[in-house]
Amino acid sequence: MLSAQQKYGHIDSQDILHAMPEYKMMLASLQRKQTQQENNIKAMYADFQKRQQELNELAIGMMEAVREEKMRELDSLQRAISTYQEGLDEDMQRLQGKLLKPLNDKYLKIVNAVAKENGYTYIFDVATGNLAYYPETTGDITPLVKQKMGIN
Amino acid sequence: MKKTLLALITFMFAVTATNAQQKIGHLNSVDVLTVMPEFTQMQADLQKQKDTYTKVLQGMYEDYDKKQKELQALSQDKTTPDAILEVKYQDLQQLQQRITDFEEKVNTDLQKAQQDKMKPINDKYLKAVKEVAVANGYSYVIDIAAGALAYFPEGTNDVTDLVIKKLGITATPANTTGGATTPK
Repeated sequence: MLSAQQKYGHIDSQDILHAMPEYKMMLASLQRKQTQQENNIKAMYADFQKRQQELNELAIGMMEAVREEKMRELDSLQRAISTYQEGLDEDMQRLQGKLLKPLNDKYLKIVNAVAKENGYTYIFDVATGNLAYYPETTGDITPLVKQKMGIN
Repeated sequence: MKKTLLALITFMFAVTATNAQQKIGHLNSVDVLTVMPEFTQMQADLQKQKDTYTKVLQGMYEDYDKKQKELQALSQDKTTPDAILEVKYQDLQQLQQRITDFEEKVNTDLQKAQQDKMKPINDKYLKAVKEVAVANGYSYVIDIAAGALAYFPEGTNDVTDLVIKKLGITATPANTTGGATTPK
């Protein structure tokens, strides 16, 4: 009878995630990636503009066929830049998902351990905003999880 | 006999301990919010604000269309001097920029207005939930509106009506939480 007793607790996953040193490292990695992307775009644009200017200056003396060939080159360069730009957000999201995975695994593993050690059957995450009410003074395992992670 | 009594006492103690069992309740926040007069009032206010903005924007769109047609006619007329075409084109571009800027401003304004108006309503709602939870011994009240629960009891532990009553609202809610309601 007593063993059927259920115990509920809660946690703030955002609070923990933001306090994890790995999270700060992840943000730094993402920032580096973004800077790299921006630099790539800048370089591509600079190249494009240089070629465009060259073409403008030389176009008058050029044979029609050569000029057309150069124009096609410019067009495909522009398309390449656009394609690259369009893929950036997706790239970033993929990287974020990849970097977040081990953090989340670690978080869940520790929550699991803390829950078992303290006899909790369910732990609700208040960060989801799905709890209309939760106790303010009891049942919060956020500090326990942080402690087990070695952060405060 | 003594042993039995002791066992009985132990059992009773165990039963008392079981009373400390945590209770979970649920509610549908949407059902509560939509019957709150403050919420309905907020929606009406926001709509009014939006309509005012839309009217101004519509005037700008019409102005743009007119100017665009004008420019088209002028550019088809070969006698129009380039200087005039240019100034008209710049006019049009400036108007477009002003429209875009204004649209952006409208969106941020409306969003902010909604947030500002929603804050006290949400606070009031959460306060009522807390009062109901404490009064009825619930440790947790889960909001099912966002689909957080794959299963919840249909007949019990739904505090939606209690919260509505706590808020002093007598109107019957559009009950979407209970499975027992007849489908409309």
